[in-house]
Amino acid sequence: MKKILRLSFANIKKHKKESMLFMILITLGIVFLSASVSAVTGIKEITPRMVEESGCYKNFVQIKQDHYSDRYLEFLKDDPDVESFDHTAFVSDIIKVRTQDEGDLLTDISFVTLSGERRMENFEADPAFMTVAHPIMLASSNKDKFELSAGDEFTISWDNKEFTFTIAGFYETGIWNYGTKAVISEEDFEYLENCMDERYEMIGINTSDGVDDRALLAGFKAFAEEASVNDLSGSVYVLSYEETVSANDINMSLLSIIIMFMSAVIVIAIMIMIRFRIVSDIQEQIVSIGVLEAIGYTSGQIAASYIAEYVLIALVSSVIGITPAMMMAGGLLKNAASSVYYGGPLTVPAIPVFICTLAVILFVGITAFSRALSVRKYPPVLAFRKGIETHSFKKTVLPLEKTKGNIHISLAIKALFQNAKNHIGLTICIMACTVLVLLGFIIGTFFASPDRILGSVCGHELSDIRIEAVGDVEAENFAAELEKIPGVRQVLKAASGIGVKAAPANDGMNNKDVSYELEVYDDYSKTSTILLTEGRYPEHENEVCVTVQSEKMIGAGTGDTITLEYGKVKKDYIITGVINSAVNPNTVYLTTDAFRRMDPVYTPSTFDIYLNEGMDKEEFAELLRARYGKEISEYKDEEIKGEDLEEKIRAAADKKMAEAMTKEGVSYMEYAIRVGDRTITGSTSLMKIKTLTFVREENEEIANMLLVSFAGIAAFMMLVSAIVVILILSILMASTIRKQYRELGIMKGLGYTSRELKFQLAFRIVPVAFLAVILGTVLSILLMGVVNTYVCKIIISAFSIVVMDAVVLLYCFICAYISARRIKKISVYELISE
Amino acid sequence: MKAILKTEKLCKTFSNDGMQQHVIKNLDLEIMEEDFTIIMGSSGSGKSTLLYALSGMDKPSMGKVFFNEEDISDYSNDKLALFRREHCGFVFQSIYLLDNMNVFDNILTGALVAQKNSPELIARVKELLNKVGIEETMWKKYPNQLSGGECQRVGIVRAVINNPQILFADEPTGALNSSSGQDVLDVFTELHKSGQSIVMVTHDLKTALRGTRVIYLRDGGIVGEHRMRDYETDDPNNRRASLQAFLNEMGW
Repeated sequence: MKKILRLSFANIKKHKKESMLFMILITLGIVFLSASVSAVTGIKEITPRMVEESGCYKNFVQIKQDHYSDRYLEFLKDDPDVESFDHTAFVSDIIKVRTQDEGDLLTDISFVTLSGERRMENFEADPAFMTVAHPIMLASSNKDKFELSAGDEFTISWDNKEFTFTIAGFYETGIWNYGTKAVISEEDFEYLENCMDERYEMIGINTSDGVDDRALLAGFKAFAEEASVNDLSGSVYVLSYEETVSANDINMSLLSIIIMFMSAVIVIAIMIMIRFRIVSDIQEQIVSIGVLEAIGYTSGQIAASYIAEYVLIALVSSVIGITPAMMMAGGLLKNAASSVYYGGPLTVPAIPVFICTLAVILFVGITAFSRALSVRKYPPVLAFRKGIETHSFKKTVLPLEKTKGNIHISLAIKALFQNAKNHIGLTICIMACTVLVLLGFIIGTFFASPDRILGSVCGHELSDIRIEAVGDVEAENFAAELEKIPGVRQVLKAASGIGVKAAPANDGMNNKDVSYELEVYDDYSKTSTILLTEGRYPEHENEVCVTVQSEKMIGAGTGDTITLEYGKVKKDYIITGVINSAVNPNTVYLTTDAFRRMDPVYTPSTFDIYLNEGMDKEEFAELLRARYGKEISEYKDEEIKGEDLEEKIRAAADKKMAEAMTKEGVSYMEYAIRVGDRTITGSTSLMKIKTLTFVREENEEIANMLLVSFAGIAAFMMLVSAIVVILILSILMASTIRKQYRELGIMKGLGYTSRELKFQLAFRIVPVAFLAVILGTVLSILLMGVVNTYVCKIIISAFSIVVMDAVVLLYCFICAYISARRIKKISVYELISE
Repeated sequence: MKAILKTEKLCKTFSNDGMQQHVIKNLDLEIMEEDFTIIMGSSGSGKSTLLYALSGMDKPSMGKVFFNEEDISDYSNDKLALFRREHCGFVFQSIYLLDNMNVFDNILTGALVAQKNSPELIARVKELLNKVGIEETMWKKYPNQLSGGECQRVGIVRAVINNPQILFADEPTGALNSSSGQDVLDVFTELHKSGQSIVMVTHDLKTALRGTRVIYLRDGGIVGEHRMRDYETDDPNNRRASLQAFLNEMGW
């Protein structure tokens, strides 16, 4: 054993730089593989832990409060598979939170009462909750997000209203509405319930083991729909535990899976490089091998010394790599947990780290073993003859006699063909790196702007300000009026959220269960975040566009005809194009005239306002309020007050009208109230705005976060590929130079300059890299095809891909050229005087 | 005859475990055009070191080397490579053919770095191969399929294919048997007859007899010089006797 280790140490010492590069490569492999596997293992524990620690229900049904009835609960009471259930009300809205630096941060928060939260999970209120004014307990994930601590004020604003809580503490929530939850007092809840639009009832359900939760929830939904007098479509959301776990795991594991893929590339690179280097070592040291065999070493011992060399390097790498692997796994887990708002303690699973590290060491050993066995082929005499067993009668590859043009290119190509087998591994490595680089490039460039992200993700139009007008507004005039206001760039009339059924024409509406939402615009070419990926926008009254996913769900694509059913009316439309909408897949796009075929009396009531660059949105909103009145909900929720009786009467009348407009669907009202000899009159003519939202701003925060994430992932993928390529090419070049030390020395003697020889060596990998880049590009396109088919269409110009391929190719050449600089050290004199 | 190579106070020093070893010491020498110069000396006298310093294979530690009046001692490695490519040919004791190339490609590797491929070049390769006795059947063979003598003759063709102004040979018959050695020496004689300047290192008397000028080295300096008449016209016995006498005088 000592003899073997002595030989191994001698070899490591002799090739210090190469051993160092190997160590870096193996360390990278260990860190990436261990960290990603550990993170994925740990991620699987997060959702169950959230449920266990919080004691929350596993399955949930969320029903809009105005459609909720206690009668639905009968279904759960009667079902023997249901172990327990409970329900509570909550209100939710997109609000602005005042940050420490006095700025505003848009966020989505669900407010629930103390008792409500206790019904849904094990909630312990902080003692301060009972003592402070307007107490609020926030999910702990908000602590860092808003940089808050207990005792701080928590000011929220929405729809021109503001409310200040005092933070009583933070707590770990379960999976119902995750970390977007906030527990408040009954009084404050009552206030918010009256002035926030989104009110829901949440039902939590636990079932017995082995029960099909999805089927049970589907049964509940069907029961509720039957028991309800209202149409519940779009008002009931069910979420089974299985779906939650699966969605959470996928969402949380995404980054880890990308890193796992990178580690696979590195491990392949390690395997290929070890095999290549052992072959080079044996060829270089063949005479020494013969000498060692002649003095009594067995070929097994010599082979073992090669194996030991790489295992020793791998052992050092594992010692170096375990701590960063644990740290990286911790970082990945933290990142994953924060994506589901889990702020509880996280344990990095150490066993996967150790198993992966051992696996890499074992893999290195096996790879070295499989290659080092070739030492057995060389008995001493054969080794002395440099492995030349018999005369070679191989055919001459690319005879120089036929060379036309550059001799260096000819020699490079000739050498490439002579060592073609050795380059298969390099092709695989560069191909895998090309895939990473191209995917990184595609992600990085396609999602390079918030508009692109917003467009691709939501598939809806995101204007600066969206006004939903009351029913009696004359759309054309109102849009024209808005457009005339200084600072307005354009106004688009729109409608969204109209439910229809869709199916291929003549298919009998078989897919009736799935409902689709309509987006209606006059002219789609003026929209900014409805991004067409195929075909063209709908222009005529018999045309529609679908999303990437609805194309699959409906079973019809561009050029096909589909039937849309709205109410009882069915009409056929031709699909003219496909639009990206990753998170709102069930969307169909058509023009105003096209929609009027199904609803002849349809008149647009939503107006997308686009402001000129530099216009203050808040100021503009104030201008709109001054001109068209406050939002209806504001009148409705407003406290009746005034300096005199007339003002109070007007406020009370406005409130009544607002209620009638929102609850009863009244479009116009007038009033005349006689007080003594005076008649106070008024109407809804100054109540034009039902809702006013900063659509773009509400989504921009998310878009910017995604932009940073996408850019980070893209940069990370490209950086890792760049490092792997330079490492493998450095090792490859170092081994090649050692292997061909004699040939290169002879050529120097013949008058070849170091620069020419460097070019020859570097140029050898160009055809390999070229092939690898082509294969990598094809693979990337296939992978993108899967994304394009099922998520959203990512379109990158062929030209930019070609340019990127050229960059990869050039990078490989430059890395190889730089790595070949050791040629300079080859001295002809030393070769001759050996 | 004019001097094609000239050295001035040429020194070559090697460092061995911190100890400086002066292999060539202040050596002044002129190599004449069309001369067949033989460098002899005992082992360790600096013969090969001098040859490689003259040929630009190695840089002198001090002093100067002039090629056609141009100082090449300060050339960079790449410039020296270009110098060797354009002006020099080499024949090594260990031959140093490229194992992975056949005879023809070995020669063309040396040729195509200095000149473009042309039918004339291919014709010249064939002519030279025929001249040194390498038959066409061997042209596609690899070095490991040839004998040592055949390999060395291929090495000579590779060395002269670019019509070098000077041909350097470091014990070209050192690794060959007697018969092969004679064949190789005949090739050198033929080349010299055609006007080729040659500088050859040897410690073999028979080889030295082919030269026109013998320089004897001891401890890194020239201690004697002997000039001979043409190999073809001179009486072989006289030639051998006079050289033997010179070498005896030198303490060989």
